[in-house]
Amino acid sequence: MDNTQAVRAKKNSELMRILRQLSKNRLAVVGLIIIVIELIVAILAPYIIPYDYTTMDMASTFATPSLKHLFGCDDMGRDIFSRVLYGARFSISMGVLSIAIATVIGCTVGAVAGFYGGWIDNLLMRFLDIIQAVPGLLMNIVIAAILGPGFINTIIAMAFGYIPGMARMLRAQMLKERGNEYIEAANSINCSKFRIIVHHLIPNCMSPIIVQATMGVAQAITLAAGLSFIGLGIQPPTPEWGAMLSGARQFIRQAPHLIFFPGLAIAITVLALNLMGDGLRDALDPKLKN
Amino acid sequence: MDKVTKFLSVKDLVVEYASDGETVHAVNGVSLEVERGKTLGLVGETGAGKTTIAKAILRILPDVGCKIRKGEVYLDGEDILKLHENEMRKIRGNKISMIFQDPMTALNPVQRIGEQIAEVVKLHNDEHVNPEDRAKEMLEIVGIPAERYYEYPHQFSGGMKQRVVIAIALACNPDLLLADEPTTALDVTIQAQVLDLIGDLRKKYNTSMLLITHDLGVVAQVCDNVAVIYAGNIIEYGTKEQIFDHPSHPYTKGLFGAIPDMNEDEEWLHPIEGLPPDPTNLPAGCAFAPRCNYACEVCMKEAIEVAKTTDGHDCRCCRLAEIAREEE
Amino acid sequence: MEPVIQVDHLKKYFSTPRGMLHAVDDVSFTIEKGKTLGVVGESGCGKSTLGRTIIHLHEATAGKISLEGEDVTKLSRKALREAREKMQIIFQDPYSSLDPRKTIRSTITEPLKVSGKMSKAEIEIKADDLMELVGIDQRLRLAYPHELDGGRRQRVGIARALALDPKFVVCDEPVSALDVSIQAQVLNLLKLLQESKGLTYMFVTHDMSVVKHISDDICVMYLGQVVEKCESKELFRNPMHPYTKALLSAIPSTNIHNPMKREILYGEITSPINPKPGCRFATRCKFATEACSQPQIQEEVSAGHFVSCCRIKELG
Repeated sequence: MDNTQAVRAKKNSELMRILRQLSKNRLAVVGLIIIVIELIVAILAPYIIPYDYTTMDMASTFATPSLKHLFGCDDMGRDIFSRVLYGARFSISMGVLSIAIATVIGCTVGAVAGFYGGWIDNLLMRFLDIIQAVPGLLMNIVIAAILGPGFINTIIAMAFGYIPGMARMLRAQMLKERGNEYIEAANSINCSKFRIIVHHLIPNCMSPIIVQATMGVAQAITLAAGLSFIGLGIQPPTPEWGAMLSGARQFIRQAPHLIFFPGLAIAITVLALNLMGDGLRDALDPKLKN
Repeated sequence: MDKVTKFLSVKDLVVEYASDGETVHAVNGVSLEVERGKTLGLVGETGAGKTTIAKAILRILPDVGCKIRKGEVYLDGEDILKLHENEMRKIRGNKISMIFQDPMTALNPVQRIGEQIAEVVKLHNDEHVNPEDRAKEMLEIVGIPAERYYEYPHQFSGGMKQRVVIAIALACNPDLLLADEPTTALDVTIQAQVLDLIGDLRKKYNTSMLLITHDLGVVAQVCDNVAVIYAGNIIEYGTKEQIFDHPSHPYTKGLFGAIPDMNEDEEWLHPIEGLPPDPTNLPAGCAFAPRCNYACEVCMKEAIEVAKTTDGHDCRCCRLAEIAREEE
Repeated sequence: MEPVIQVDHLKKYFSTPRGMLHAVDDVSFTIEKGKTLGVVGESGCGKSTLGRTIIHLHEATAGKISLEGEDVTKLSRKALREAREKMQIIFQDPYSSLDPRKTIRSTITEPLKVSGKMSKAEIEIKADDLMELVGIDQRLRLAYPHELDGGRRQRVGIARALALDPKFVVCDEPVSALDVSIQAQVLNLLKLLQESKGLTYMFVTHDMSVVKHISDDICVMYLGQVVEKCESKELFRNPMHPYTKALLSAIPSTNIHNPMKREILYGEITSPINPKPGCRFATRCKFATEACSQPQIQEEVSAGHFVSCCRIKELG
């Protein structure tokens, strides 16, 4: 037809564009690399740790970092380096799973509320209000206390607290997108309500959700560590980072390296996730294209 | 240069944006002039660079990603592009004002409209002018009862909001008004009211105006001179009579030809085939050549100079003689 | 021959916190096959709501809509699905009427997929045909809307509207958001498609020169009511209603040597919420009298030329 305008029909899928935009933000790329490394470590942990994370070497209790024990040993003579690496599995998976559950449930609730409006919206929002009325950490503590410590229980306790935030965010996006003409167009070609929500609305509402989820994983990891620290969540000897902090609390004066390394692991993970989340937010916002 | 009559003089303005890693050549060597008390219509389609020129004159282009590469803008003999920001601030709203396109977003929704007018007065005027009184005076001038000083923008209709925007623009009696599509977002009967108002006020205060629009009807009604812009370049320039009676550039002719004629019945319209060029990838030579029925080798390869005529009707086209011959 | 569309005393009201909004108030017209009815008016006149109500994006409050002789005002879900395939709409804003996350190919094939009547292979062939019909290069199949200009996006919207081979298409200001040179391209395309496929259009716009070019008949609306209705050429030759005259004279003309004497309408448009009975234009009409506060009747002032104005005989 006309060839004057150079229309870029190159493989310009949305994903490529986002990745390109993201790659311009150096800090975000650093964050992404760190997370990727941590994921690899977490997956390969059983195969790469120099010592089994439960092995106790009573001769090396409180050993300071050395070539033999890179991060030193804890009060039971266990190699901290191995425990930190293995602990990545717990901390990261708890963070990711709790946010994943919260996102799925939250988005479903938010989508239904946002699309149908009226009394359905009202009912669901009031229900979320009740959940949110209890201060966040307290809610998590109460549920964790009811369910008891443990991997699955802690994930459930954490997920519960994140559901309202996700639901409201998706609902807000829904309300905004719902008024667009392409939704009217979908109606006019006989799309079912289900198809409109799933095919058209949700994909267009996902950008802030993705950013929120990424930052949420960071919050969840910190929360998991916090719950373990106070005796809920995961308990020692399981090498979850928070549990490790909890166990090392009493030795902070004489052997600070017991606290330092798990603490550092948490800090780096959270920082990396936040950097990545910030970068994603900028990359997904079409107005910031510069 | 005749400084007395050429109140605003833009010379060889070049503006670039950075977008998505590429350079957008928004304005490519634009020169234009506005005489005191007269109106220049700047006509072009979306993306031609009109708004960029106005923002460049007022120096309100974004700091990030946008650069005025070269050019001079003389306001009453002084190059305002070289002024310090502090001095420029004294000029904005005072000597030069701008009316923006969308009245719905041009006003601050949480500030009373009277205060928005008074704010401009406060910023620029000496102490003996009471901003509130002046604001109320301006409201009456634009046809809004002064009691509405205390109301908020959402309480006004689109047409009335645009009047408030005009009141803000004219509150300090600017010498030059930049109007960026001031009536495009309005209904046609309201547009007529607003154009009338602008016309009256201009006559009263002898304000010069640069009117940006894509609507040739509005140009016919309001402007003294016309500059037609395509892909960041002025391609034709002249008085209203010269442009409307004898459009010379193929693009200008194409524009007139593409409008449905109110007086004739035509089966088919005559669009300009093709699309405007991509501003990040402008063709060598004349930007319009790919769409032009008269284009030749030279048009495609070399930058075209402006062919000046004795009576001031300029055209950036090297094929004028051939076109004239073909039409006979 | 049955008219393709017949609308009788159609009303659409919206309930708002401030009262009942009379968006469309007692509108009647017919459109014959292959013809175009232009509906003109300014903001708030209800022209867009009218189009959307006819194709069931809104449910009519009262009145009757007939499609090829059949009453389609209130339909069961199944009947609605069938009816919708015969009535389609082209939207105004090429920037918000396409799903930003779907390729244009996907947007064009969606109506075919949803209707479920064609096989995958048949859908692909049809989609190719549609793209060719509206003049979009096949190599743009996988392009996203944000990569295309307004004119091309609008062509995608047209292809989508024609996918189900409708008989009637509501064109809701389809060229208002486009540049003049592209407008002409799209208008020509719409006309071509109408001729080749025998489509019937209701063309909603506020641009008088466009409506003159494309319509056979024109309806002028003001605040939900039809104030004048007649053949297109007749409207421009002999406008009768004071609002129509003001509307025509307000258009800035490109004729610099004979500008029409312009009538400036003073006052603001009144609210369509809980309107008083009687002519809604009266507050801005220089001929308004007591009689104008009574409900206005639409009269046939000359052959095929209908006006709703109680003073028309005296003024004419």
